Parts: sequence; C-alpha cells; structure tokens
Amino acid sequence: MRTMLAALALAGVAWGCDVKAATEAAPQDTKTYTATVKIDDV
Amino acid sequence: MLEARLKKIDGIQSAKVKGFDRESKFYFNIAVSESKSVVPQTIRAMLEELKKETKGDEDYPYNSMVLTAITGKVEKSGDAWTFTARGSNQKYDLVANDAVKKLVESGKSLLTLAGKVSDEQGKLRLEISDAKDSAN
Repeated sequence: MRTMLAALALAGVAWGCDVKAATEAAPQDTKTYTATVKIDDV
Repeated sequence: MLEARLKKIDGIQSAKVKGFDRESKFYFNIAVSESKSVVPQTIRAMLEELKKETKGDEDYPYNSMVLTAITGKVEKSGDAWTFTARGSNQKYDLVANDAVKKLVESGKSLLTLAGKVSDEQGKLRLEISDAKDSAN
C-alpha cells in the first residue's frame, strides 16, 4: 500500500512538472507578428 | 486556394482574405510565429511552387508585403539603422521615421513597428510607417 501511494505521489509530481513546463513554454510559442500580403491576379 | 497555401508556410499561424480590389490584387492578413521568419521571398517561393504544380494554371504574381505589428530591437550605428525581430532574430535595414528616432533617443530600443518590407538586391528593408514602445 505504501509503495502504491508513493508511486501515485511521484506520478502526480511528474504530471505537475509536465503541466508547468507546458504552460511556461506556451507564451513564447503563441507570440506572433502580423502582416498584410498583396498578391496580383492575372 | 491562396489562403490555404499561405497557411501551409512554416510559421504562418493564420491567413485570412482581407479583400480584393479593383486593381486586381488579393489582400491577405497573416499572423506569423515570432520564432519564424516570413519575408517576401518566402511568399514568392510559395507562388512559384503553386505555378509549377499547376503547370502554369495558377499564376499569381507577388505584389507586396506590409508588416502591421512586429516587435524587436532597433539599433543605430553611424547613419545606419537596423531592426532585429524578436524570436526569429531576422535582421532588416531600417528606414527610420521621426517616431522611431524619438523613441530611440528617449532610451527605448524594444519597439513594435509597422511598415513596408522590400528585398531588392537581396537586402531586407523595412520602411517604417508607425512605431511605438513595445510596452504600450
């Protein structure tokens, strides 16, 4: 039982780290710049 | 067709038709990831590829590109101004206007700019029409 609880706790910590890493990385990935492109029709 | 092709370019997160005018030009608004650089040559290469794939049926010449909001660092060296885009580190020769000059003189260097991009003779050039402190 103790081993099982320890494993669950470790999994929870690992999951928490993943979520933290993903949320920290997200703002950089979502930053954009904008432009207008004109293309001729022939 | 063109909208879908623009969306396939690496870094373009969205591309929407803005309109079509009497002078026969398509206008698209695009949003690009800061980590990527999309320049006039990127658009021309896409149009060339489209023409090649369709054996000339889909032939749309590139017209122009205007950055409407891009953030990066402005630097002055002698009489030359340069802009380095945040994220991609793409460099542009800058044609600075009074707004840019005033901001840099007041100690601001991270600015959000708008202006026309050209790449004559292989040199990227950004002709500023608007500039503001990136913190605003």
